[in-house]
Amino acid sequence: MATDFEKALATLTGGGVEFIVIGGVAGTLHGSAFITQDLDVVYARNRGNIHRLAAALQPHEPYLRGAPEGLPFHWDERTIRNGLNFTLTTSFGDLDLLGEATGGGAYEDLLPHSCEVSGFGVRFRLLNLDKLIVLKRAAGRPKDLVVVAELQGILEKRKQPSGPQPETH
Amino acid sequence: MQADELHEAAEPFGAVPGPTAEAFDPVLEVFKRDIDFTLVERNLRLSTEQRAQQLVNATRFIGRFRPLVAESGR
Repeated sequence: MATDFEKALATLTGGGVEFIVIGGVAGTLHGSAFITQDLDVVYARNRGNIHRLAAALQPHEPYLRGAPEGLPFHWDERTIRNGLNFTLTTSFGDLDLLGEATGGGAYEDLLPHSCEVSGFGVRFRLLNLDKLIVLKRAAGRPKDLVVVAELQGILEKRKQPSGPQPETH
Repeated sequence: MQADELHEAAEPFGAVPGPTAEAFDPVLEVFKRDIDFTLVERNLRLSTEQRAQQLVNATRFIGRFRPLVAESGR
């Protein structure tokens, strides 16, 4: 199932969840030509946000991706508090919720390295390109090598004075 | 080292000190040779909202045609 990014982000922002978009979607928004199929976010682990996250996703039948059917998995505040990183399937597609990201730490650590952007019909926080590359390098996954190479190329192009500039709309 | 200094020096949990974004890596340089940066340059001329819309369109396309391809292969 292809992830409905508009619905996923509308669900999180509509529910007042504090989160930062990382991963492939962040790469796309920074100019990557690779297509991703899931949404990765780092969420704040304070009590209020865990409450909002539980409530926002509850109607969308979150379940552990790849787990056998029928496990006693209940999406609620307790589950979130007792866990940290969740790879989920939902009614709007695949969603990875990270309490902490390798190489970047928690939401509060990443917040200074993020900015607010518009996209998918909503406004949300996006990890900046430098930090996204640092995270992907820290993850050290062979499959990320080509993505990191592309993102580093984007960084180099952005820093060229005559590099491509976004159109204004 | 004093306790305060230790606290200041501590990395946040989950943060692994690693290379900076721009640190040179010969392996990455090899991968860069095969990347079509004309696509990237085109994307960089788009706004963030346009890049998001492009992803939505691509995802919808994949969602629509993947089942058909799977069915045709049966």
